[in-house]
Amino acid sequence: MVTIVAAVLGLSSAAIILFLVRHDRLQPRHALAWLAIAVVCAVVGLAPGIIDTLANWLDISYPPTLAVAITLMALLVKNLLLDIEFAQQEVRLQRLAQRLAILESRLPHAGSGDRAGA
Amino acid sequence: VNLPPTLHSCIVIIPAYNEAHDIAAVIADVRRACDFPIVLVDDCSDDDTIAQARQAGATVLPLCIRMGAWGAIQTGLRFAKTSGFRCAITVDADGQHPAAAIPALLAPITAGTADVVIGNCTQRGSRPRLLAWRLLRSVSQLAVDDLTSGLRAYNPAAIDLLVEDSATLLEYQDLGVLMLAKANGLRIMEVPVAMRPRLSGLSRVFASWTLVAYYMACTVILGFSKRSLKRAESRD
Repeated sequence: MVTIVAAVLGLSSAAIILFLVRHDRLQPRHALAWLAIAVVCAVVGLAPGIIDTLANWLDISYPPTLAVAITLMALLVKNLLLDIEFAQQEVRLQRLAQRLAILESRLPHAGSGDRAGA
Repeated sequence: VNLPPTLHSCIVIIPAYNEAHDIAAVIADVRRACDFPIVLVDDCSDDDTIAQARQAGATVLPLCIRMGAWGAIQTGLRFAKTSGFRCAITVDADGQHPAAAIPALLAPITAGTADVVIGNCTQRGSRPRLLAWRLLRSVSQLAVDDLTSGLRAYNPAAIDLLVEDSATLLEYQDLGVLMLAKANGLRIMEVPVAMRPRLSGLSRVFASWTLVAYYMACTVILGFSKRSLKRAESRD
């Protein structure tokens, strides 16, 4: 039963991700990481023994902690990447706004100062 | 102000946020001290700052996104560079900086002995502020007394460096800018300046304890992460 639930979770996440890409809510390069996570979910769901074997190798007495630890690490990395990307976007946005301000100051009718809706 | 021909085109940059009340007086003060063009970078003010500044004769760069004091100053520096100005002086919009100090600020740049000159106003420091400065100095390893002064002069080499992308994410015109300058081999010098009390309003950084804590935490992280990996130089 657990196997089916995990596999369904993995497959439905994959379906949702593809749906989001299809409707331009997610860029393919971001979808890549999420699809990988969905595949891992599905694989672990279909063959839960993998986690037990891995935990055995690493000498971890309670295998589920390994699954939780891997999940947390994956989310942490994804989140960090998100903040890194956010910083890059911030640089682009600020430089664009700076250039806009400079161009605006050079317009012949700079006196209007119309920033409504900006 | 007598400058050699290479530095003759200087510009005064004033970053401003909601300073309609004092901005005309500040611009007039700068006008009395020098005949450089004045550019006011409006950081998305809600009040009449833009109109007041235009009326006082400044060129206005209106930002459409609020980006803080440094973002505004960098806008001014980019304007300076693209307009062919060789030297830039930054003055706060709250009237704290006596524009009469501008010639003294430019002297080391004219003499070629410094790339960045800071108007040092350390006498304004209260005890907690002095403590904060000491902490920031030790974290950043900068041999500069007044890390947060907004009264500064930049020469062409400094302008070229500070208009780059790598300086865009800085939030304040303080130790992040100075550390970047130092890491790139620019010479930083301080000139003592008598500071006046601000005409009205509160400091944007020191308006509340929460803001002070936020500022200190961010600045310590920045200072620590941007430290030179070489051995610290001794203070001269």
